[in-house]
Amino acid sequence: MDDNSVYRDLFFEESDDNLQQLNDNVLELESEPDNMDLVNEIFRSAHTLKGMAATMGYDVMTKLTHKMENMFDFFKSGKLKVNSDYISLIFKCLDKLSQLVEDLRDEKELSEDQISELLSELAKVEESVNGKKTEKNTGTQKTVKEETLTSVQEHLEEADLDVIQKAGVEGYQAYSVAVRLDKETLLKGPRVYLIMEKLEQEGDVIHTEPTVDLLENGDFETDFKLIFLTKDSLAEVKQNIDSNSEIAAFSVEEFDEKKHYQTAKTAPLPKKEPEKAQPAKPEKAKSKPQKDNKKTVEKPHHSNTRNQSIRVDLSRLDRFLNLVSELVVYRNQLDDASKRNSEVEVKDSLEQVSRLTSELQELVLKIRMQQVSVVFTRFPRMVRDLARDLNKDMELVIEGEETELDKTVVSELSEPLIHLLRNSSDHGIEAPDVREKMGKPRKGTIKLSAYQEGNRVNITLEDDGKGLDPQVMKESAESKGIDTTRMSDDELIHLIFHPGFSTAKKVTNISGRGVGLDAVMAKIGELGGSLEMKTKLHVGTKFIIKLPLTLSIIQALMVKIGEEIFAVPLDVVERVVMINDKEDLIKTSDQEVYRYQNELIPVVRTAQLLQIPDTKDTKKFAIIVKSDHSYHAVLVSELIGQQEIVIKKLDSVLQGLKRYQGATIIGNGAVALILDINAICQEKKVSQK
Amino acid sequence: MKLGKKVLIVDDAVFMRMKLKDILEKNGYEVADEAQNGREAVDKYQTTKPDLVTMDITMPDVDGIEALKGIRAFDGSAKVVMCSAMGQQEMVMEAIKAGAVDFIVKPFDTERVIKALDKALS
Repeated sequence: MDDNSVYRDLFFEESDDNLQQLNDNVLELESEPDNMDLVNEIFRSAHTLKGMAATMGYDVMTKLTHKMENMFDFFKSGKLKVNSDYISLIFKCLDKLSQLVEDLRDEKELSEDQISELLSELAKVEESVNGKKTEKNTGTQKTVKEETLTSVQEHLEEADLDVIQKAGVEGYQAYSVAVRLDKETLLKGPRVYLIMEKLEQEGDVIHTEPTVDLLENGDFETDFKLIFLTKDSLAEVKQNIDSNSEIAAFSVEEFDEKKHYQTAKTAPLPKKEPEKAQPAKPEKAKSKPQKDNKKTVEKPHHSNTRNQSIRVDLSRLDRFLNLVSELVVYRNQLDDASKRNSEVEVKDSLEQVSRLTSELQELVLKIRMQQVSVVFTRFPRMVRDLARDLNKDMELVIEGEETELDKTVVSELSEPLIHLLRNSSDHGIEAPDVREKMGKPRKGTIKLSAYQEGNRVNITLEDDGKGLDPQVMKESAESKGIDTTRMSDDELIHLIFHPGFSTAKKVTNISGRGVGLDAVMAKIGELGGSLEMKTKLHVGTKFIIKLPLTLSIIQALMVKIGEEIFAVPLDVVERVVMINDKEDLIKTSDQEVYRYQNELIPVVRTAQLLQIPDTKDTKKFAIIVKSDHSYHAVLVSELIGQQEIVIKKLDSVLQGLKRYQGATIIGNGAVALILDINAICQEKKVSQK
Repeated sequence: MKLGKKVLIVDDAVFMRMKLKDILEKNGYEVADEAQNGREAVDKYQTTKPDLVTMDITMPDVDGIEALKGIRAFDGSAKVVMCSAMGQQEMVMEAIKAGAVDFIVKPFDTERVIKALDKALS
């Protein structure tokens, strides 16, 4: 099997990191085009990416990265001035690279067609820098600085001269040798070693510059020099060196002591010295078209794809280890105590064990936590692109990106956030001229912040754009045949969450392709969160996403409906009231309501809804829940208590059951279903219509 | 000159063997045989007597360096070009000590591979 498959996961993880790094840095570069440190860092990331892709044998990806890297090289050498067109081109490359990585992750084959367009764009830039003559396949040789190669030794010591003199007496000739490796030579250390090995079969290398250690470690650019003692003729030495591959140029001359004492005289060296007699040789290789029309196809790898991985703060793992070791200690104590039938000791140890398990549980949840920055970091770039596309001036301000959420939530978050961001950019922020007329700064601001609040994390997205106009909403709704009579402004505004509702006058490719905010709402709901919106005409719109801190463990209120036990996620529970079925519920013409804080709220008879035989008892509990901006009173027969429960996903066969979020295993080993209050209240609403 | 020169490709990865074979055959070499580990390599060297061997360094069981030594023990003039990955400096040096004529570094660049093989055979 391919060795590479083992490294696939690592490759993906690191590619993601490097691409993100590149995105961030390139974005920064646009505002600081002269920051050379930044250019260098970008160059390094690109280089790493290329190296990884090459090692994995992903030629298409390697090629694109390589060409992109050239751009950075031009920035570095000052041949190209950073401007926003180049930045956009680089962003296009980065996007393409991300896509290639995704394709590879999905084991799709890459083809050169995917990148041909970008390559030609990049080639144009290269042409503008290097002139049209740039040969396609020898670009690397072109960029080699044509510094002169000299075999003049700069650091000769007396002892070396001594040796050379003595050797001369015994018929050895000293040669001064300089070698330049191909610029792209890999494993320079072994390469030098091989060259020296070959020489040493015929004589002795008595001096090198840089030192042998540096050379064998590959710590040098491309050139090195040495003094070689041998009985071979000059031609033989040249032949010896020329028998090595990956040498760009070399020079051999008889050692002349005087030369090295005088100021180093440099003799320019053209290409391949001195075999001018056969210039055809290097040329031949160049004229060969290099894998031009070859369609590079990457081989898909066979391995368990999408192995999700997570980076963990080492200190958390250390703590984990400590807790586990402690646990082992108490297990042994338990063992011991049970052998001796000492109930007191068993109890003591058990107490410790239960403390440790809860700590462990807490810790595992923490280990699963990931900073929201994982998704946030790509947004500045996105807003920048949107601003360009929409001819708007806007800025994204991010706050609280270090806020942590469960990994599952974090990774699912980007889609709805992108949607909201696009919405704000497209519909929210006005064109600069319009803003100016309104007395607003030309530059619009979108603020994305995250912060923890108790057991949940709030993510808000706020723009200082035009806000929603209830009147516009009303017209739009009516044109779509929605009855808006008796609707309050607030209700009108919330029509935006209505499926398929879009106020955009024209459909752009930015947002509003009919996919409304209802999709966002649904996604957030799936994550156990809620979405709220506040808007003020001409002032702006604010979306508030409330998410549970962790997904897999929730606080729940355990209840009985009839004789069945259910779990109600505590985060939707506003309060619980005891009611009398007969007296406290008011029947209106078409529905039952309950008076809660001077508001009549709909009643959900869960037993009826779930078709469970209800108890005869008239004493019931109403759980007041907030769903979709309105309260509902959910009736249950009995309260069992608050409890932490682990959510188990329902089997795919059962996932059609919308009323349940999942199931959990309760103390006695029985299974309790977790009610999806949002869905149940929704169902109630629909059934009324 | 190189026309019809026979090469034995040794690599444990099918993918790599395919890639090398492709490169070689497109450039006038003849692939005498393929071996997927060092043991096979030594064995097949003796039966096919190739002009050149490309030898992967890391292979399960008998690795490239052992195989190189084995082949050189059988034929002191055997020309073996090592195939290494980045980061294998030490092993490459060991192979050179053991008589490898050259080495090529993965990922393979057609031009470089061919240059190296041409040199090794000249």
